[in-house]
Amino acid sequence: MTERNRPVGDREDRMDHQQAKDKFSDYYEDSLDMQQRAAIEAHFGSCSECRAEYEAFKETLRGLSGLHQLAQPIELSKKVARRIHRRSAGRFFGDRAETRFSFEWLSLVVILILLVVVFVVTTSEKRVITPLLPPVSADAGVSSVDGSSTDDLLRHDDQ
Amino acid sequence: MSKRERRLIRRLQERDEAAFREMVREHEQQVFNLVFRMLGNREEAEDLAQDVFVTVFKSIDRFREESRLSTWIYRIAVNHCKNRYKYLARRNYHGSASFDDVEAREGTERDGPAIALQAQISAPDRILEGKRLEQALQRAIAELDEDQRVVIVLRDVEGLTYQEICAITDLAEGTVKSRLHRARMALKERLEREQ
Repeated sequence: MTERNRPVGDREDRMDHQQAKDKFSDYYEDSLDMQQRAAIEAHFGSCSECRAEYEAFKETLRGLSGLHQLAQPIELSKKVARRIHRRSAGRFFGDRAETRFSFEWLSLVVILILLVVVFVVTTSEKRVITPLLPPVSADAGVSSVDGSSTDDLLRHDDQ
Repeated sequence: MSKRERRLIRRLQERDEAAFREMVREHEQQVFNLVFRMLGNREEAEDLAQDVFVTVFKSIDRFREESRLSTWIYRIAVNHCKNRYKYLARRNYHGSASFDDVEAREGTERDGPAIALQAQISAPDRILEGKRLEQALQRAIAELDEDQRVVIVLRDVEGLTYQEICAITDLAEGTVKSRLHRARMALKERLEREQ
């Protein structure tokens, strides 16, 4: 008689009720090796009580995985912030924090402002310097055509 | 651990409040679900969920990045649940589910990854049966002992891997599996007794 044709009870790897029950979780999670899987299925084939019990076991687990995702509490993040604010004696999460920008955004704004300032300063310097400079004579820096020095011109401008 | 998560942790360690809000929004659903299933009471769960995030804020410097941030937060949540459970037990509080919770939530549920029991039942007249089953399950969970409750909620309700559960509970995988099996059998028996 081959192994396959032999009655379940004759096999060396047969299971009793308790052994089958002990394997419910592994069978449900499909983590039994082939031999154990065959043994428990053989037991279910011959034991309606264990089969029914496994069905109930499976239904329980399906029920658990189907439990509702609960609606989360409203504004939990704000409530936590208030709690930290209170417990830290106001050190963290002050009112200002509600409207605070993130560090990245703040950095970006600062960089943009700096770029605008640099642009304005460099372009305005060109406009201011050009008309102020008098024509340069051969002895530049010493005196102008009418004999007055550069310092005198600046002084005149100031007046 | 992703680059984004590492960056978030750095910002949390610098006490960046915007980063903290981001982290709460990311994990509030999981944390609230876990503590509600553990305690069986919405008000207690909401209060405890807040405490969990306060602890995260205070202790983020101690997070050694040996696990994912979510695993570490779950660990804090589980420890808080155990402490609260002891506190409530001393005060003779029975952590059974408040049955109004399911009713009160009606119409406010979000479409989460878990399929609502009601949705599995096609006929409208069986919606009530789905609710009744959910209440019975929550009651049965509340009757399990604390250690069994932790593993069954983490594995069968939240769907965490054994590796994650081991990291959260500090237990060996074999211990988690045997504890989980006993919890499942106990839950099945309690449900059968109810029917």
